[in-house]
Amino acid sequence: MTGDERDPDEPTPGEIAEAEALARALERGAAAGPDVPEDALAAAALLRHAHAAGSAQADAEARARVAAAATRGRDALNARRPRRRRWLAPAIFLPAAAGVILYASTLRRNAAVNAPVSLPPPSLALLEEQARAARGREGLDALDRQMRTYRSTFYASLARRESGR
Amino acid sequence: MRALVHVAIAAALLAGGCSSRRPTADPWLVAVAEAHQQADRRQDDNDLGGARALLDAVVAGAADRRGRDQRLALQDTYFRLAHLALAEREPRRALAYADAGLDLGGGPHLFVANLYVARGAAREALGEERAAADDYHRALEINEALLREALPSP
Repeated sequence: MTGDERDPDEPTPGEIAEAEALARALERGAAAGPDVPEDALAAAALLRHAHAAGSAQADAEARARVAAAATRGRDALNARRPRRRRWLAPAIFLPAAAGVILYASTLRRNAAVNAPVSLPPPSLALLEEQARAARGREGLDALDRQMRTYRSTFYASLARRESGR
Repeated sequence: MRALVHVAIAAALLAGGCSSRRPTADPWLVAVAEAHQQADRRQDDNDLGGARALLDAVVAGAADRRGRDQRLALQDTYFRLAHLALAEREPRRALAYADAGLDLGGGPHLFVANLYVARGAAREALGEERAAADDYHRALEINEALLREALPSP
């Protein structure tokens, strides 16, 4: 058997090239080469489309099955769960909000009571008596007498603070 | 029905927290003001011992009193006690009262200046001329500052 003689059952190099190109087209939809027959390419496209359609349908069916199972599970859970007492939410929330307001107003009131008030300024007459007394004990009685007026003003200002707030 | 219960609970709490009830004045300060008025009357009747007893009671009841108003009320009371002690010719007692008032601290206030005046007078009566001059000087410093505040600015 010589090199020119070949088995008629064996594919020729051209047939092998066509088969390889067709296989690539079937696998990936790759661009067909110039030596791929048109009818083979059409068959490959049809096969790919059928496979893709089959996959999408299977996915849709799987999703539907999962959704149905989830719905049945949720219904079963809801049937077992005790009925929600929705009225409890405002029953807790309203007194809690009122408590917060009560606490804030108490803080504000205490701050008002404890805040120092500006004191009444002493009169010039009182300051003159004080200066006189500071030059010797002789003026202490007069200072004490002048202080009576300022003292009443002082306590009146404290009382005004309490009643004015 | 439930809504009514909720509203009633909230209204009750709000009424407690936001009522227009006035804050009560510090009862101790009210008592001090009243004691000073009574002491004025005793002093006018020349009952210096009676006036001092009233003011001594104020000081005795002032344990753990805090705050500026309480301190000032106490310092003023100590000043009066020192003055009464001097009037009764008890300079050492007057000195103790003035020291107690100054020990309460505080800034350059009228009441503090009064206490320096009273302590200066007590020391003067005790013959402590130099210490008395120092106290008078401090009193005058505060007095000058108060005068500057009292006089209208040009």
